[in-house]
Amino acid sequence: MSLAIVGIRKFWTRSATLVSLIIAVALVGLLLILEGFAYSSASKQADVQKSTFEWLLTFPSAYDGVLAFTASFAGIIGLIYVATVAGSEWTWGTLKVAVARGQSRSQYAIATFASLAILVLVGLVVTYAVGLLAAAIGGSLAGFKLGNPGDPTAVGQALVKLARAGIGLVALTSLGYAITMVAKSQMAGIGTVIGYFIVSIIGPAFLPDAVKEVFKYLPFSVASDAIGLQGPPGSVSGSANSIDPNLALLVAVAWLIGCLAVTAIAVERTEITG
Amino acid sequence: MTTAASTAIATKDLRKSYGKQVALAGLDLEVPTGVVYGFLGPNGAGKTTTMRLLTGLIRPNSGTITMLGQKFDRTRGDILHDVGALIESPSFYPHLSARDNLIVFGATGRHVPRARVEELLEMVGLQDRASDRVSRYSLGMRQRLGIALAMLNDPKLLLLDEPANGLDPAGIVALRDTLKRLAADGKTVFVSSHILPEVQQMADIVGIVASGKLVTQGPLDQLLASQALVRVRIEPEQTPEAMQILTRLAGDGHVEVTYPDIAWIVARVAVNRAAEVNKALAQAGIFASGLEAGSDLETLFMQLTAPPPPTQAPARPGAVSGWNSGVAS
Repeated sequence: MSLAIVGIRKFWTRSATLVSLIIAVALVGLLLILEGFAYSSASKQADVQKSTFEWLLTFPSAYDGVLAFTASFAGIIGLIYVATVAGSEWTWGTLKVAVARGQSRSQYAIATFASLAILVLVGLVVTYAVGLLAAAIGGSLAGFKLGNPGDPTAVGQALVKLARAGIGLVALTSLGYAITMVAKSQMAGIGTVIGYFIVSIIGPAFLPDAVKEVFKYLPFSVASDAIGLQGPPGSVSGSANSIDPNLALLVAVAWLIGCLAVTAIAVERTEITG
Repeated sequence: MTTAASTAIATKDLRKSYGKQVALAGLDLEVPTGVVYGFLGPNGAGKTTTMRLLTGLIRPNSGTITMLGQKFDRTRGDILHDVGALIESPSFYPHLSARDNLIVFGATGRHVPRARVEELLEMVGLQDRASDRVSRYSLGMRQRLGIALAMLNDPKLLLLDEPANGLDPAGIVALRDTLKRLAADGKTVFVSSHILPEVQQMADIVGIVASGKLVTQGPLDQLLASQALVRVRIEPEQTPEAMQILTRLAGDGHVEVTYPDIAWIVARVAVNRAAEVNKALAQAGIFASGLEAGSDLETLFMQLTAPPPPTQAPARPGAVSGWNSGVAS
C-alpha cells in the first residue's frame, strides 16, 4: 500500500478532519442561506446590492460567487487543518517511528502532504457542493428565481475554476505544512498562518505601495487570483491588488514546489530527538 | 575481537554533544549476533542517545557505526529494514486501532504482509482488543503494541528501550521468553533497561555506560565472577571487629558496610572463600546471621557507575544517595 494512500487512511479518521469539514460546510452553507434571508428581510435594496445578491444566489453566476466564498474559508481552515495534523507527526512521535523503520524522511514528508492535500481537495469539493445547494436555498428565501444551473458552458467553467481553486488551496496549505514541519511545532504553523491571514486582509490598506506589490505574490493572494473569478456586476475585474490568473496559478505552483522542497530538505537534515 | 560477520552492532569512538552538553564521549560498543545484550547505565549516561544514533534519528559528531556488517549512516536507511526499534515511549496514532497502526507503519520502510500483523497481535496478546483505539489502551497494552511494532518486519536486530516498562508480571515473563527465543533463533536483541534483575535474567552480555563512555562490557557471567563478593550480616556493635577481619582476608579488595543499621558488610573476596570468611568470623566470636556469596548485577552496576566520593563540601543533611549520582546529560 503506498504511503499516500495509507496517509489518507490514517488522517481520514482523525477528529480534526471531520471537525474542519463541518466548520467549512457550516460556515459557507449558513452564510449563503443568511444572505438570502438578509435580502428578503430588508425593506428596499439598492440596485447594485440587488445585483450583488442575485450574482451570489442565482445560477449560473452563483458558481463564481459560491466558489469565492468557499475558497476564502477553505484557505484558512485548510491551512490550520494541515498545520494541526502535520504537527502531530512530531508530537506523537510517529515520524520517529517511520524513520527508525528505515523510511526515507523526505519521501515520508512529501507523501504525508500528498495525503493531506487529497483530503483538503475533497473538503473543497464537498464544501463547494454544499455551498451551491445553500445558494439555491438562499436565493429561494430572497425570492430570486433559480436561474440556469445546468448551463453546460457555465458548469464547464465552474469545474475549471474549481480545479484552479484546488491548486491554489494546495499551494496555500503547503505553506502551513512547511512552517510546521520546519519548526516541528503545530503552534508555530497555526500561529504563523493566522497572523499571515490577518495581515493579508488588513495589510494592503495600510502598507506602502512597494510592500503591496510584494503582497500580490504571496500565497493567499495568488491562491485567490489563480481562480480567475468574475466579480458581481459593477465590480472592477483585475484590480490593482491582483495579478493575471494564469500568472497567479504559476506563482501558486512555484510556492507549492518551494514549500515542499524546503520541507523535504529540513526533514532530511533535522535531528529527531522528541 | 569478533569478526564483522558475527557482530550485530559495532561503534567506534562514537561522540555526540547537544550544544555544550556531552552525551557520548567516545563509545565503543561491540554486540555479537544471536545474543541478548543488556545496555545499562544511570539516567543521562547516553543510552537513549545511543539508541537514536543507531536508528538514524540523530547524527554523531564523530565516530562510526556498523550494523549487521554494514557501515551505517543516515544515507543507509535500508539497513534499518532489518532492524526493529522501540525507542523511549511507544508512539502511535491514538485515533487508530492497534491493527490499523501496525498496517499504517507496515507501509513504511520495508513492506509488511497483512498476515504478519495478525501474527504479532496474537503474539503480544492483543488480538481481542486489536480493533480498539490505541487512545483507550493502558500503558502495558501500549507497551505490548510497541514491542509488536518493533518486530513488525521480522528484524535481525531488535533495539528495545525499557521494553518491560508498564508490563504486568505475566507480560514481563512472556517478553523475556520471547527475547530469549529470538536470540536462540540467531537474532540479536539490544535491550536498554533500568530493571537490573530483569536484565540479569535475560541478558547474555551486558555493557554498562556512564557519562557517555562504556565502563565495562562482556559476558554477564564473567563480569559477575570478576566482581565476586561475600556479604555477611552481623550485629551492628560487632561491625568494627568484623571489618578488621574481613579487611585482612580481602587483602587489596574493598570492604565496606552497606546498611549500617543492620550491619551488612560487603567484602571483595573470591566466592570460594566464603566458608573461610565464616570461619574467621566465628573464631573471633562473631556469628553471622546472614552470608551471601557471589555478586549481582545491581551491585556491579552501582560499583561501576557510582560517582567519585565528594572531596569538598560534605553531603547535604537528608540528601538521599543515588538520586543525583551519575547524571551526565
